[in-house]
Amino acid sequence: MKKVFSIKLFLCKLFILLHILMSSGQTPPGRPEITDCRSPEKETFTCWWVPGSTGGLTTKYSLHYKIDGSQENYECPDYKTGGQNSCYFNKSYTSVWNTYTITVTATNNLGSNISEPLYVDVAYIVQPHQPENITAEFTTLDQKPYLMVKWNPPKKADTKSGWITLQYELRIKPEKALIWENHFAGNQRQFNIYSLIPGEVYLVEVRCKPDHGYWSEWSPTTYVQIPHYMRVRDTSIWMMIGILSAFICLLLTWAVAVKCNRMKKYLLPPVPVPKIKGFDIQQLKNKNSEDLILALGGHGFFPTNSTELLIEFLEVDDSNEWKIMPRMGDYNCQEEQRNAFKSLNDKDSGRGSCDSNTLLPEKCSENKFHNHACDNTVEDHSKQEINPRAEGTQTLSLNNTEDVTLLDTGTIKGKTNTWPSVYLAGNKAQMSQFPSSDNKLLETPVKNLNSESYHITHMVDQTEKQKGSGEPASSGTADQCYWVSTNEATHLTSSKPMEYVEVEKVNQQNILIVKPKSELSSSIDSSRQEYTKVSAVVNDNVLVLMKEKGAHCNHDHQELTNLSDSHSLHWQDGKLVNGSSVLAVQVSTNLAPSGYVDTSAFLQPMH
Amino acid sequence: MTMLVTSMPPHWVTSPQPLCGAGSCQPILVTDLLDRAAKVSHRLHALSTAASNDLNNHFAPALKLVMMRPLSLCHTSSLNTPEDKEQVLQLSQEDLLTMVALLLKSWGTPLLYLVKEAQELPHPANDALLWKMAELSQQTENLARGIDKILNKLDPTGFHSFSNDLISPWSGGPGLEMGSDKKSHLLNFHFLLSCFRRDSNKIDSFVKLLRCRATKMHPESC
Repeated sequence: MKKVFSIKLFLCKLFILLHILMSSGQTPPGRPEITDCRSPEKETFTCWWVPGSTGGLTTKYSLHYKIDGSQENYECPDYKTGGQNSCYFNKSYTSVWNTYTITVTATNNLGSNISEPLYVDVAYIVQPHQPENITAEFTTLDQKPYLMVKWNPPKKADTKSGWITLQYELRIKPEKALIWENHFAGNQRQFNIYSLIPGEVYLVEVRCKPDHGYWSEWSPTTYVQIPHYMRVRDTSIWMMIGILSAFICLLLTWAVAVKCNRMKKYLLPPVPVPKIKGFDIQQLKNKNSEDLILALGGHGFFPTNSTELLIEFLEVDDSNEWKIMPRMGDYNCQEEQRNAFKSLNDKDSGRGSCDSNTLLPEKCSENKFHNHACDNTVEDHSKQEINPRAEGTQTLSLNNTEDVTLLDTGTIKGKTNTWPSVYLAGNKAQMSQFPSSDNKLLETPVKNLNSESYHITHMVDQTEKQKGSGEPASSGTADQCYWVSTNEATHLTSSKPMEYVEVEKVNQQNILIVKPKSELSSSIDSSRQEYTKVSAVVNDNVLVLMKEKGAHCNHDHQELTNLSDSHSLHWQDGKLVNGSSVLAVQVSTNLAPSGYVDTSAFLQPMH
Repeated sequence: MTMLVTSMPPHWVTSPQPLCGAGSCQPILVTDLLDRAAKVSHRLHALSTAASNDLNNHFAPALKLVMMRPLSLCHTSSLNTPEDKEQVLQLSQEDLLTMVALLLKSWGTPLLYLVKEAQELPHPANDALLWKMAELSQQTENLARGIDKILNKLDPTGFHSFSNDLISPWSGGPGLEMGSDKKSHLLNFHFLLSCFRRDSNKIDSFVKLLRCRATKMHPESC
């Protein structure tokens, strides 16, 4: 009973004691922990620890160590030098290449606690101080600017004797940059930095490390101002810009010099001049007659009935001397002239007056289309012409390379006129006798006129060319009649030489068949009067006009052939004395001042 | 892990014949020889530190405690090497060189043992350990020959020559016994390697100190 009571009492006391202790929070100290030991120069070292829980009571810490091999426990010689919770081992207490076993003990009233041991060899824990006396100097060497950074090792590290060998590292950045630029400097105590931004402020820091140890802390920042200098890169950039711009200027100058004319035209467009609307040189080259007629505002294909032939005439300027373009064979001439026309092939009227199909010779002193070569060749091919070039003569030559006939009026009196060739859309029935692609009759209305104008139509004959210098009127199978219109309304003797002969067709031998007006009166305007049909051309200067109505060309042709062969015609002043209904006209003598055949003079007497 | 020196250490020519023309040969300066020696010693210590780290990283923390055999038991502790800077500075050039030579020679056989052990070591990093051990063995031999040459240059008369008795003997590891378990193999390996790591640090410090001493004309190089 007593024993039980005493036990209970004991337990109660114990319980109370514990309760008191618990309520006040006092416990034996927690376990401290040694954080690290470091030696700045491999001659001394310091250890630091972190205390555990204090347990509510004042706790005392002690450090003890053992040296490798001996069991003796020594206490820390210096708790103060290293700061709080540290132990400093000076030179006398430090031996290298020995293992230290270090422990820290925390003691308070209630108990003590020992930390984990730490094994330390001084040779492995070397971490020097920061490098000292850092200088950064901006200098130039051979006009190359750089920053020379110099420093000294930390004072305590004995590098002179070689006890410690240090390696250095440097870092630099512009003031406002975020990232440092690191440079490893090895054992040297200076470093050069190139490629600096002029005018910038740079920050420089250095740190060091022993051969087999830890890096030191970064030194305090050194500020350095870079003066404004001209970088090689800037110089070279300016030089490149200069060279490039000079090169571009040269290029532009060359381009302008070469394309002077074009640029002039572009920048200073020429004065627009009226041109023939709807007249397309290119279309002329096309062999599609219908399209061409339509393009030119024609009325479609010509009616089969010759009496309903509608022809618009091309008014051209006249001169006393005009010469029709030489025949084929003079290819160069034609080529040039064709090319000249090609350049005019646009429907805009933005061409210079020289360029357009104008008939005003005064504007163009230098006539593009005037071809001296052509003049010469014309004489060479005089055979082919109906009438050799002479004053007051009219020559018609048929030549064609690509269904284009270029008329060239030679200049004798200084007047040159040209007009593009004209296709005449022939009578359908008549055309069928020829290769359709070759024979076209077309007329182009000309807007530009002068007082002296006449209508002329002619036909291009492809086959003529192929025959080379074809004989004028000797052979020929098909017949094609030219209409040469004459205006009988105006009197023959009137001052106004508005006379023309309508040529209905021409055959291969350049026989102009002129139809009298009476045949056409039903279908042709009253303004168009006399038509005389030329049935043949003889001897290069004689137009054989057909007087009889309804005469067939074939028939006529045969007769003409017979005529020429038989030489039964007598010529007198342009009249052909013959019983036939064929009228021969000697063109040369009866040429009106305008240069056209005046058939009315012949018709009347014959009647 | 400590960065290893990447440059290949030089190999001393064993043949005594100089490689230059008759009479026009420039002898190699002691400073150059010491510079080469310093490079080799640096590599030795770096390699041994790396090998120790390889070994320790794969052990459980509890085992590390057990493994900490006092290094005073290293077989080379019989050589009275200096323990602080003052003692080192008191030694002459030749004495230091002799000490270095003795240390290097003492480690010839144990390193060969370590190479052999590393082949069958029950450790995940034994491949890396193997080539490191082989390199250590070769470079130690190389440095020993170089130090001999330097000694001959500095002391041609052989006044400071040492006998081979001073070389620390090494009794051998437990690997020779039958029935030794894996744990003892590991522990022994670890101990030997730790001993060599410390000694390589000594050698490196001594040689670099000698190199600095030899270049009195250029104090900046130290």
